[in-house]
Amino acid sequence: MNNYLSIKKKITNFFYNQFIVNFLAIVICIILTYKKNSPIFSVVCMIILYYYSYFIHKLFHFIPECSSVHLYFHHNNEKNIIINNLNLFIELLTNIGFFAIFYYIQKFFGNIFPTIIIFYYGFIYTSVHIINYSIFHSSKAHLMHHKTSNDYIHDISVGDKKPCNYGPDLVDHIFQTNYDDHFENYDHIIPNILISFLVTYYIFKPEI
Amino acid sequence: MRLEVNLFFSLLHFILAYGVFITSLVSNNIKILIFLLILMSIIKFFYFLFYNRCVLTLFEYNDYFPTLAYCMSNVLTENLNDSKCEEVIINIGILILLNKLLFLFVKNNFYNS
Repeated sequence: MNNYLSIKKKITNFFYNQFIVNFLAIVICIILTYKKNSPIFSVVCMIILYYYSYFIHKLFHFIPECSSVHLYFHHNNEKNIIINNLNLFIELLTNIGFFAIFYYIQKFFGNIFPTIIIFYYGFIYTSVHIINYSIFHSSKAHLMHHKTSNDYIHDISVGDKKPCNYGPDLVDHIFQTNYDDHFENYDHIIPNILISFLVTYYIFKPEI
Repeated sequence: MRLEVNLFFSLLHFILAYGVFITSLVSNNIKILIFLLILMSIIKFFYFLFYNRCVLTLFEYNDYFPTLAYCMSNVLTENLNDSKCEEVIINIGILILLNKLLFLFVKNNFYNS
C-alpha cells in the first residue's frame, strides 16, 4: 500500500517539476523535424536518446577507472582550478563523444535516427551537464551523483548507497537509481533547450 | 513607487498576458506560435530565476488595486498566494501553446500523408 502511495506522490511530483520542460523539449524537437519526419517518430527518437544517455553514462561508470575517461577526469576531487577546468573540457569532449558514438552506430545500421535530433538532444545534454550542473551546481541530484560515485570509486563506506542519479532524472526514477523520491526541478534547463533550438536551427536550417 | 507607475505596469502586464493568451487561442500560424512559445519559455525561466516571482507583478503592488495575476487567477480559484497565481497563469499559457503546436503538427502530418 505504501508503495502505491509513493508512486502516486512521485507522479504528481513529476508533473509539477518536469512535465512542462520535457514537453517543451519534445515539441521543439518536432518543430525542427516535422517537415521531414512524422511527429510520432521524432517523439520515439527523443525517448530512445533519453534512455541512451542514461545507459551510456552508466556504462562509463562500470568501466575500470583507469580506462574510463569520464571517471578519471570528471569524478575526482581535484582542487586546483586550472586542472579542474581542463578536466571539465575533457568531460565536454566525452559528452560530445557519447552522441558521436550514437551517431556512428545508428549510421552503421542505415541512418535510422535523424542527425538533427541527435545534435539537438546532444547539445541539451552536454550543455546542461557542463554548464548547469558542473559550473553552476544547479542540481542537488547531480551533486549526490558525484558524492556517491566518488565514495564508491574510492571505497569509502557509504552504507548501502551505490552510485546514483546518472540522469536524466526521469529515467533514474524508472530504474530506481535515484537518491531520493524527489524529482529535480527542470526549470533551469529551459535556456539550454531554447539555445539548442536556435543553434540546431542555424546549423541544419530545417524548413519550418 | 507612484500609483500611476504601478497602474502602467498593470496595463503592460495585461496587454502582454492577454495578447499571448488570445493569439495562442486564435492563431494557426506556426511561426507566430513558435515565437510565443519561446517568449513564454523565457518568462517561465525568469520566474524560476527570480525566486518564483514574476518581475512585472512586483512593480504592480500598491494600496488600492490588486495585481493582474491575482485578478486572473481568481477567475479560476481563490486563496492562492501571489507566487502560485503567477505560476498557474504562466503554466496555462505554455500548456495551451505546446498542445496547440503538437496538435497542428500531428494534423499537418496526417493531412499531408
